[in-house]
Amino acid sequence: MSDVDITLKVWRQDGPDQKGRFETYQTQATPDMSFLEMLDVVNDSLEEGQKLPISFDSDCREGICGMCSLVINGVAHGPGEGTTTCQLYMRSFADGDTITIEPFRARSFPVIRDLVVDRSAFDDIVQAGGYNSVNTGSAPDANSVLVSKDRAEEAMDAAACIGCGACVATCKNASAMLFVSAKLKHLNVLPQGQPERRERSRAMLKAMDDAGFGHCTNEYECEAVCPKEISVGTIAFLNREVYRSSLVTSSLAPTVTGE
Amino acid sequence: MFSTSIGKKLGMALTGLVLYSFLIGHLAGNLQLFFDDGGTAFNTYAEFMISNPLLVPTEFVLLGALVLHVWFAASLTRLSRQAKPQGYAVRQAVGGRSLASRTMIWSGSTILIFLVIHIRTFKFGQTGEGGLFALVADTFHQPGWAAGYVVVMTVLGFHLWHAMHSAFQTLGWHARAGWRRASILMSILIAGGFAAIPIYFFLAQ
Repeated sequence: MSDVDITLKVWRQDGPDQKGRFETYQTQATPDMSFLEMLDVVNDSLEEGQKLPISFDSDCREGICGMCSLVINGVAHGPGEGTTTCQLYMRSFADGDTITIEPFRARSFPVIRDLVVDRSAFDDIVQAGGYNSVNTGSAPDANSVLVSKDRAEEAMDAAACIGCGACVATCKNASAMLFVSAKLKHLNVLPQGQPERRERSRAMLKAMDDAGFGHCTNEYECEAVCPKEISVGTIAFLNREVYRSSLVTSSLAPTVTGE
Repeated sequence: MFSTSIGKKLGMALTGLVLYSFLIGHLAGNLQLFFDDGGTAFNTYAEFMISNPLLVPTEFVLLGALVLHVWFAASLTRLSRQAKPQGYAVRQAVGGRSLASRTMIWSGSTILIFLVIHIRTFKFGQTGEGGLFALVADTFHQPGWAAGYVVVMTVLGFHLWHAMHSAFQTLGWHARAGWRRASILMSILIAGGFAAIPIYFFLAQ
């Protein structure tokens, strides 16, 4: 495959309260470049011309840290199923393509600069209940707390969430339900998560609403862009947990079960 | 509970399902309009409904469900607009997003306006010798009324397109692809059934 000539339309914004605008750049990329490497090359040439480089988030560049973002041609993390932006390669684009790059948009994800948004609202939600605070003592004997294979798989599927925020970015309501449900489910389905199950459901829902995220209209766009392919069935689980938490009183809530 | 985002969604789902059940019952009753008996069966049914002591309480339940459904919809739409003040310059629909799903508030508003006209025409309309059947027949003999009803029933079908499986998902029952297809089939059956009435009377005159 040969190199591709690309026209980029990139959202530039000098600061949180500044007005943003699109700027156009021409660049050349090899097919084996990742999308972020392509942006690195654009930034190198901007710096050579004494211009400010495009700000964007990235860290591990292997699809596990949840740091990279970007809405590429109207799709969070760009084309390709189950991938983050750093796992997107320029071979996905044709010679002469115009690529529009925008930051994740949501009131709860304010733009800091250019394509960088503040996703600390997610941290607030996890701080509200996405943890276990009960003292579980020293490491238990192997197999003394039984977890069925299916249950373990369910918990692991939910725990795959890397908190990138693509679900919020793609949702027309900026709903964080897929993220919140994943962060809730990986604890609520396991025996170790039972003592705080009810409080966790209530606290995480409250934190989600307080942070200003929208509601879910069951259009499942989040599932389609999630780099970890978390199912919207997880959202149905969150709904059930919330109803359950309002019906079950604290004293009746099950403590550790071997379910 | 109903002050939270999920609680409001629960309210939408429950009231929506109440209204959905009503539509099925309403359509089942209306199918008697197709009986080739000069309207005897339908008029008997209409009389039975009007004289039924359970009618008024049922109407209040339906009115309550409707008011709450509209209230929650307005509240959630406001929430959604606040949560996403700025959209994208380039937008590509992914997943289950459809024209029907993103215009629920507009199809719903259309149905709400239609309801006022519909109730005025048929519930509080003047019935003469031929009873309610004759009123229905006379109304749909007019091309404007017949066409208007067909259009609104299409909008209703659109609204129901994203209704049933969405309600089940909100209730916590993961509505998979099969349920989504069932939901679409139901919307076509219900809207088609209602739309057949004005078409039938207009063509039968």
